[in-house]
Amino acid sequence: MDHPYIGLEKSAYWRSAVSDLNALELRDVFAPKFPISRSMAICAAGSCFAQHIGRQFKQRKFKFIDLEPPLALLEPEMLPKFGLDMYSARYGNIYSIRQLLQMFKRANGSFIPEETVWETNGRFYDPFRPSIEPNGFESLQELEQDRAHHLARVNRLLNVTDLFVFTFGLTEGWINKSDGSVLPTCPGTIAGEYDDSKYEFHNFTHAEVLADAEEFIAYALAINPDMKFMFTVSPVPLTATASGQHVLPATVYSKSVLRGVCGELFQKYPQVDYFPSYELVSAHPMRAMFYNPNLRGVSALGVAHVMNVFFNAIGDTGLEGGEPASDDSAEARAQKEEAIACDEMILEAFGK
Amino acid sequence: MKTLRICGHSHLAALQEGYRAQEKPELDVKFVALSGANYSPEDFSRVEPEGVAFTPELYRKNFADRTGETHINGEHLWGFSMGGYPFRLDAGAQWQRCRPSNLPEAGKRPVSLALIDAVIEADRKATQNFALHLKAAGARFFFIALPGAIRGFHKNDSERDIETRAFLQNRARRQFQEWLAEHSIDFVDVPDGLMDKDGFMDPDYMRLIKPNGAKDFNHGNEKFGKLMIEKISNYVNSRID
Repeated sequence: MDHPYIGLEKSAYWRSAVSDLNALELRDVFAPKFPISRSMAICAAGSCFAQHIGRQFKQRKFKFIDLEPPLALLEPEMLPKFGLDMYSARYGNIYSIRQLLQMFKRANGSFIPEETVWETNGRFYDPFRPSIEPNGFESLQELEQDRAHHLARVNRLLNVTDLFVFTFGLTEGWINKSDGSVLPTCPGTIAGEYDDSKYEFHNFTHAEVLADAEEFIAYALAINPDMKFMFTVSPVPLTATASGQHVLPATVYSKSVLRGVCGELFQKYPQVDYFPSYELVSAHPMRAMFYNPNLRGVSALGVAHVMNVFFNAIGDTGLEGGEPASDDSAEARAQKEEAIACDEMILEAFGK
Repeated sequence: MKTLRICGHSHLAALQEGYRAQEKPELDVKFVALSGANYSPEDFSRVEPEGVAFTPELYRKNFADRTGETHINGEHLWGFSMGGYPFRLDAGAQWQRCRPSNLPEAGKRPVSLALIDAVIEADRKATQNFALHLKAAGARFFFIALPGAIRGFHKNDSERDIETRAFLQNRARRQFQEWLAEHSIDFVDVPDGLMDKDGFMDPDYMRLIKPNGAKDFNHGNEKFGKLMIEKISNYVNSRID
């Protein structure tokens, strides 16, 4: 009897696609929905894992947008400490799509948060980018100048973007009760002061993340109807959860929601593709081999593997006119990995 | 007569000319030029059992050719003419698009003072490491100020460009001096009266034209070198070694 499961590609069967292969030999895990060329203007944002993606686009000489580029002379390892050379503007890590959406609304003036500064020990921090100046700004005026410039750049970003790459990080977040502002970090961790009368924990639901993502897509397409979106989910587990659950099920909840939303967006929108960085690192056939010993951080080898899968799939096998990215020495890769800025790492120190 | 070795890069030329122009030198000075310029932020020295050695091949060769030695240790007194002037920061085209946050200008990206300080620190880090290597090796040494820049020397310099340049230059110079003081390293500054209130040099003391005919915006001339050597001589003769 004939049925739809007869005669499919090898990649459709678990045995031929996974069981019979070494995890490093899996093929066709990612089949791009649309071509990605070097002529496309690419913008990236998201959780800290997204920095790897942006970095690879730059190293491979793609047209990666950076509207707030670093000053010359700053040593490479210093750049992430100042929120530079990480993404397409100096917005730091963006862990939720609500935070992303609100950033664009702040940039176009349609959302004006009530709380716009945290003062800690005489230094001034942007609540929406508390990590971009390691010791805060010298004055409120300095912060406001920088923010005005930053938001003006962000407001231009979608106008010049062909491909928007966003890495979903987690569903847990901290919200200012007064106006619903979503903060990238819990007040009191990097800067600010925790006050439960002002801030509340929120664990976004599938419906909320989906609605925010669809609102963002609609907003971006209104600016550029030809824009494409590449969504990924970070394979990095939560450092800590404020949900009251054990951090393991809390992580699985977060990642499941985000993965589910990406799947739904992938099915619904021809402009949306999904790259399975989450699966390539965290799925059980990988046997956790791409994680560092703490089973949280992704090793340099894991990052290289994920990036090679992505760039091989889009037809780019190495640096333009240079060495393939996978030829980086393990030491060099490790150094680069260390230069990734992860706000949530502070929670690990905080929890000790 | 005390002896001194002065080591550095292109700014040695003015010091050497000033030294030779003296009627009655008070020091016996040997000049040791490492290269024409040092724009690299990379470390250029390391501590070895015999003392501090330079790591770039060119420096090692020039040092050996001019001294017949391979290391710097406690044997001689050294003056180093390097550090404190943010040449690359000053010359960078980025200031066409940016401004320090304390000197805002519409349409220009504001750069926080903390970020500027990080850039300045990156620029002088190799020189600081060199100084720490010298201390670790027990060398007898001090640092010699480089001249500042000339006001309005860049083409199309606006008042704001000049203001920015002065700010960057003075901040870098002050921070370098503070760092040296924190590490108890002596510093011979530019003599009083050669700089204006903003830190720009009096053009009378500057070279202005390079040997190849191009404009020279930051090298002193013989007149500058002579005053510097006088100040260095006074300092060296006041040292109790």
